[in-house]
Amino acid sequence: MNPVTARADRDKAAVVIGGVLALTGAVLVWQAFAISLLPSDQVMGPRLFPVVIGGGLVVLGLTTIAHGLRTAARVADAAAIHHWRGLLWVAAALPALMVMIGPGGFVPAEAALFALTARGFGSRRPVRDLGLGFLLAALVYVGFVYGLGLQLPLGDWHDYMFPED
Amino acid sequence: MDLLANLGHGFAVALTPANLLWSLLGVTLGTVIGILPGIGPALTIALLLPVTFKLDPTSAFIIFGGIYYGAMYGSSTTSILINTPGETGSIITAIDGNKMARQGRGAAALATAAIGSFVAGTIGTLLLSAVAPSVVKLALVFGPADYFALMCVAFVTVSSLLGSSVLKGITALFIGLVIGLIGIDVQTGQARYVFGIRELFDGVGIVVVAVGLFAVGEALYLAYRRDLREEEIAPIKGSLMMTREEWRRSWKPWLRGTAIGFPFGALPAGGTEIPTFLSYLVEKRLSKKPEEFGHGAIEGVAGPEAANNSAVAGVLVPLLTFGLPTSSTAAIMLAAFQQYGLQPGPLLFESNSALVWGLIASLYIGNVMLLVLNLPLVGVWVRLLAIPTPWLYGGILLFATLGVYGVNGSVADVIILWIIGLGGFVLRVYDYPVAPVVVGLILGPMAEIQFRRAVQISQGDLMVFIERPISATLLAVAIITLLAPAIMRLVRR
Repeated sequence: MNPVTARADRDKAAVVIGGVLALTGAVLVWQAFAISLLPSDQVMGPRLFPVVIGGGLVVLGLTTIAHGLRTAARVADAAAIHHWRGLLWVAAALPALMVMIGPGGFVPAEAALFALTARGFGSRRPVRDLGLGFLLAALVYVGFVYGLGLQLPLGDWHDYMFPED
Repeated sequence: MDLLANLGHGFAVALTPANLLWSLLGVTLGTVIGILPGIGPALTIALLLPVTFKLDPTSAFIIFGGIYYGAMYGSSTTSILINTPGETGSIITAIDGNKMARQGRGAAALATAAIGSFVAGTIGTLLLSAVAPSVVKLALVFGPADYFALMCVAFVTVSSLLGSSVLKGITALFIGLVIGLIGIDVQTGQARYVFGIRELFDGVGIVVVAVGLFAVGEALYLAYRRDLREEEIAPIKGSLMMTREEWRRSWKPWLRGTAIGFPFGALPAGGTEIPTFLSYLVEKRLSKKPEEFGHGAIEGVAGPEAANNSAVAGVLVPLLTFGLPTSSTAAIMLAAFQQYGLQPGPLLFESNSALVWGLIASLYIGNVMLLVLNLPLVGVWVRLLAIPTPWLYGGILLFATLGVYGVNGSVADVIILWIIGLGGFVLRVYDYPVAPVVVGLILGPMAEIQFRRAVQISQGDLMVFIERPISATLLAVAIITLLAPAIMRLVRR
């Protein structure tokens, strides 16, 4: 194997992950000294574990980097299937819920989450998915609010339209 | 005899009509989520926590126990019929089980899996009832230093035995430990790593983390790595009544699988996967026709399926006696105990013996129910596999967000859920095991409390961990386990 491809064989992902870990660990150790101490606290106070765990993370991060520089990335990675679009649809499902649950209420927000997730898993019929999500969320709403006494939001529009509720 | 008295007491609790119903609900739910890919016992119990909080703890744990047992029964069905394990404990079952199904011997494979699970579950529960009281006596002499050392053993075994490499396992564990640091320090009331965010003062809940990793992270990963091939459901062919020959070939693997599974579950060695792999290897080695393995050997189904069920019974030993979780499901169950203000451990057997023995007795009953649910009724559950994947994961995320949002009605929890889900996705893509994160999150703060308590008692002297024989032994075990792979490599050179 010539040196050029050997260089490309380095596990870049591991180097990045190791860097993030080491950096996080360093921040943890640094921030550990921001934890206020009571005068009675000895060395074994609330700072000890943060320092040990943060330090441990630094060591693990550096080891991961060293490991990544020495070993090749997994070959299987290159051959595996990647559905970036599917990933993005599913990743958008929770933010959609966060945005919608306040103004729209539980049922429409969960219906949107359901439809977006279904889209991410390859469904091509968004209207049907939305309808099914709506039905499922409505059933859950009735079951949990009336059956179990859990509080789930109806949405701002409802409060606006029916302020006496 | 004490054991019989305790069990009698337990059966009196478990046989009340209400608790029988809870048990039936638990095992049914367990079977269903065992069969469905993408949802496992840890996630299910985490999602049920807000709902079951309204029940009394005994009923809640009867449901949880049923789910844990049931998931092991149900997952074998998926392994055998569509070659995709419902849970990690049934990975190995798919090898020969699916081959048998394709050869038209699916019914026999399902039968040996279900009966093997029943045999192992029952013997495992018997061992649990027999062993637990003596382990409790041992747990009573444990001081804070010993508890800390025991948790170190659990840390090491959980992170080095699960997953592809020790480095990745330990890293996952540390991620859990870091999340566990967030919030108010219990002993001094000082805020740690909350960065002024009010929602973080109580720490990041284990439910949010478990649901984030097991539901959101898993859904993201599967959408990314979706396999577009249609899953082929092998029809159940043949008779569910095993032939004399099949019985002859199955009963020894069942017993050996049980013997392998229970200690692996009971020692803090974590999870159900390893004993199933071991059982498979043992059966292959002992078989007169090892060439049949991989091509539909019934022993390759019987052994591992027994092993995973008896491992589950084993996992309950350290959980109930020491409060030590060795699998992610056990970690969630520990969180459930804490939610009720109960601390599993020797005192639980004294103060809540109705709960402990009621739970154990319900497991015997649950096993019988599961045998019925998974043999004559198996055809009913198989229809669940017809749910289209987009709807299945849409539904899982719907319930996941409901479980997290419904507790406090806080969007902040959903944001944390999303962040943890994205993190879980990265872990999955780069082959980091997820279970150590959950175990680290729940055990980390407990280990810190025990450590500081031990040091307070010894007035700052760290030698206490080495001077106490129990603690010294356990720490030695932890270190040896951690270094064993490296030492083996050196020796081989």
